[in-house]
Amino acid sequence: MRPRLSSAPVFVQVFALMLATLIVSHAVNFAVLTLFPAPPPAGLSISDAARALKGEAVVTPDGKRLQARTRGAAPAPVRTEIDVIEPVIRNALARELGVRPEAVIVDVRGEGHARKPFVRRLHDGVRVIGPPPHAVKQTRELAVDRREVRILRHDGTGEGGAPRVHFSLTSDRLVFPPFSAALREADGRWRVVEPPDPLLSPWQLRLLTWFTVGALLTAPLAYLLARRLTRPIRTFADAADRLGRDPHAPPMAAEGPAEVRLAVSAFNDMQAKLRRYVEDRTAMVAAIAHDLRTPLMRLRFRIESAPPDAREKMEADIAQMDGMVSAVLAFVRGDGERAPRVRLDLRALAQSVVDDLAELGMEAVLLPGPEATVDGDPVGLRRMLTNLVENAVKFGARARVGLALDPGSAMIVVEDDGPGVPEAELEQVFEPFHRLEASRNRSTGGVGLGLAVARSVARDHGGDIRLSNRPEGGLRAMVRLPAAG
Amino acid sequence: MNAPAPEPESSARILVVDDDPGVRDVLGEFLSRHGYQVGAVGGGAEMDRALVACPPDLIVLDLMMPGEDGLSICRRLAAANGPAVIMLSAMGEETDRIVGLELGADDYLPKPCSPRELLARVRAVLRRRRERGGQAEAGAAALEFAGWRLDLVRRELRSRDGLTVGLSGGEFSLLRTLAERPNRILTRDQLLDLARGPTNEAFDRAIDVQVSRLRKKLDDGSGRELIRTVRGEGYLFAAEVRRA
Repeated sequence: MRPRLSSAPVFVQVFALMLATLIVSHAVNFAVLTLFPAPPPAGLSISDAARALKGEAVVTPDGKRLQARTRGAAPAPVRTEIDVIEPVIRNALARELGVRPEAVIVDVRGEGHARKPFVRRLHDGVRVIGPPPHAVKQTRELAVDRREVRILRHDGTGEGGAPRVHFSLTSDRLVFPPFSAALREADGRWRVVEPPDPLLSPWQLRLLTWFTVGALLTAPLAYLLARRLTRPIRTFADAADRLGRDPHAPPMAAEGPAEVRLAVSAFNDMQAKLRRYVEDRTAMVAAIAHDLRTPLMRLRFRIESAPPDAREKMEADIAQMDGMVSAVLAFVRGDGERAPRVRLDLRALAQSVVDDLAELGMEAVLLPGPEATVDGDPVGLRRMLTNLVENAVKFGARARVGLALDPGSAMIVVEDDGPGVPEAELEQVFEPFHRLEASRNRSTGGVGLGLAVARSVARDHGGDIRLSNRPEGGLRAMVRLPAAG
Repeated sequence: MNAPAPEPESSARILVVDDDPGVRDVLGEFLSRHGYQVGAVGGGAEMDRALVACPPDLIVLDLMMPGEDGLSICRRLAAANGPAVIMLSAMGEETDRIVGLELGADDYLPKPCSPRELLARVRAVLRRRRERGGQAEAGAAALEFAGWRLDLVRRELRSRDGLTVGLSGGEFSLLRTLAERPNRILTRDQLLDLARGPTNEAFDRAIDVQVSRLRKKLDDGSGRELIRTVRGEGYLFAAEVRRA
C-alpha cells in the first residue's frame, strides 16, 4: 500500500499540524511586514499641534481629528520633573506659534519608554532614536529637508559638562509621542489641545489585521487536518458500536493512523475471542439439547408397554421436554446463516399458521383485512408467528391475528384476552429464558424462548416486534416487517 | 397398540441404521411386534454388508452418525435405486427435512417421534413403494398445474409470479392428494384416507373446510376453479398436472 499521510501515526500528524499552522501564521506576518508600507505613526507633529492651537481643524497623519478647547485655568502638567522632551516640544511649538515659551505648556503622555526618544519617527518610517544631540544629528542627516531641524543655540556648558543643544523642530514630517499642549491667550485663558484617543493606533490596527488574516488562513488548514485526523477514530468508534450490536459483523478494516490500526487489530482480536466463546457455549447448549432427543425417543418407545394412564402422563412429560429442546435448538439456530428470501403472501402464511394451530385445538382466528406481501424466509416467519399465536393462546386464552399496512411496512398484530404483561417487563420478556414470575410453573411454563426466537426472526428480516397492553385488557404483539419493494 | 393387528405388509423387511444401541433395540422390538422382520446395524459399513446378505424393503436411517453420516448414505442408496428410506434426525429442523427429502429419502421423521407416527410413516412409504411396483419413487419434487407450482419437498405453493403462498399441513396434504390424481373424482372418504393416512380421526366436514380454504388461496383472479365439487360424490381436480 502506498504510504499516505492519513496512515501516519497520530503523533506525527499532530506535530505536522502544529508546525504547519505556526509556519503559515508567521509567513503571513512576514509577508505583511515586508510587502506593505508601514502605517502612519501615531502621535502629533509640532505643526499639527500649532495649527490646532490657532483654531484650525486638523487631521493627524493617522486620520484622527484634533480640536482645541478654551479653558479658564492653566492645565497642570501631570509630571513636575523636567525631562528633556517637554522643553524641546514646548520651544518648537512656541516658535511655531510665534509666542514666548512661557505662554505654552506641554505634557507628554505615556511613561518611561514612550517618553524617551524625543523624535519618534519620520513619515517614511526611518526611526531616529536617542537623546537630543545624537538624535538631532541623525535627524539632520536623515531629513530630506534641512529646514526640518533648526539648531537654535549650541553651548558646551550642559550638566556635567555635556554639550548642550538648543534647537527647534518644525517639520510636519516629524511626529512626537502624543502630547497635550496649552497656549495662554491674551485674556489669560488657555487654549488646550488634547492628543487623540490612543486606542487602536495604526500599528495596533495593523497587528490586528495580521492576526486576523493569519487566523483566517490557518483555520481552514487546521480544520481540514483535524478532521482528517479524527475521521479514522470516529470510523473506529462507529464500527465498534456496530460490532457491539452484531457479534457477527465482519472484522473492521485496519485503516487510518498507526495508533488507530493498533486499536482496530486489538478490537478485532477481542471480538474474535468473544465470538469463539459465545460459539463454544452455543455449540455446547445445542449439543446437549440435541443429545437429549435420542434418550427421549427411546423413552417414547419404552413406555409403549406401560399401563395406558401412566403412559399418557409420561407421554405428556416427554412432549414437554421435547418442546423445550426444540425451543433451545430453534433459538441457537437463529444465530446461524441467513435463510434465502422468497416473496410471500403474508395473509396466506398467517392463515395457514392459524389453521394449523386451530387444528390442534387452539382458539385462534385470522381477522379480515388487507393483503400484504413481504420478502422473507417462510420457515422462520412461520416459526415466529406460531410462537406469537401459541403464546397468546397459552396466556390469553385466544389469539386474534390481524394484518395492517403502513407506508413501507407490513404489520402483523396478535392480540389476546389475557392479563397482559406488567409495563416494566414488556421489553424483558424478549430476553432468552425470561419468564414472568406468574407463569413460572409447569402448566404454562415453556422454556422462555418463544418471544426471543420470534424477535430474532423479525429483526433478521429488518423488522421488529413490540408488545403493548391493550387498554381494554389483554396483550398486543405487533410485528413490523419491511414490505416487499 | 398393545395387541397389534396383523400387518398387511408383515413380510416386509426393515433395517434400522442408528449408532445408538438403545434406539436400535426399541425400534427393533417395536417394529417386530408389529410383524415386520427387523434387522439393526450401527453404521454405514455394517449396513452395506446387511444389504448384500439380506436386502431390506425399507431402511430407517439416522442422520447423525459417526463415520459416514445419514445424508451421504441416503444419497448413495438413492443413486443405487436402493430400498425406501425414512430419515430419522435429532436436528428436527425444517431445513434438515428438506435436505433429507431432496437427497432422495422417502420420508423424514424428527426425533423423538412417537411410535404411532413411525408406524404410520413406515406403512405409508411401503404402500407407496408397492403402488409403484417396488420401484424407487420417480422423485417428483414438485407438481405444476395452471401456473401454480406445488413444491412437495418444501411444502410450498408458488404462484405464476413467484409469490409463495403458505399452506397449513392439512391443506398441503389435501392439495397434494388432489393434484397427484387429477381429473378423477375422489370421495371425502378417499381424500381423508389418502391425505391424512389411516390414523386420522377427523370428520369429513373438515375436508370441506380445507377445500374452501384451498380454493381461496388458489384464486388467482382468472375465475378458473381448480377444485370442482361433484355433487353427491366428492371432489375433482380439474387441471393438467406436470411432474417436475
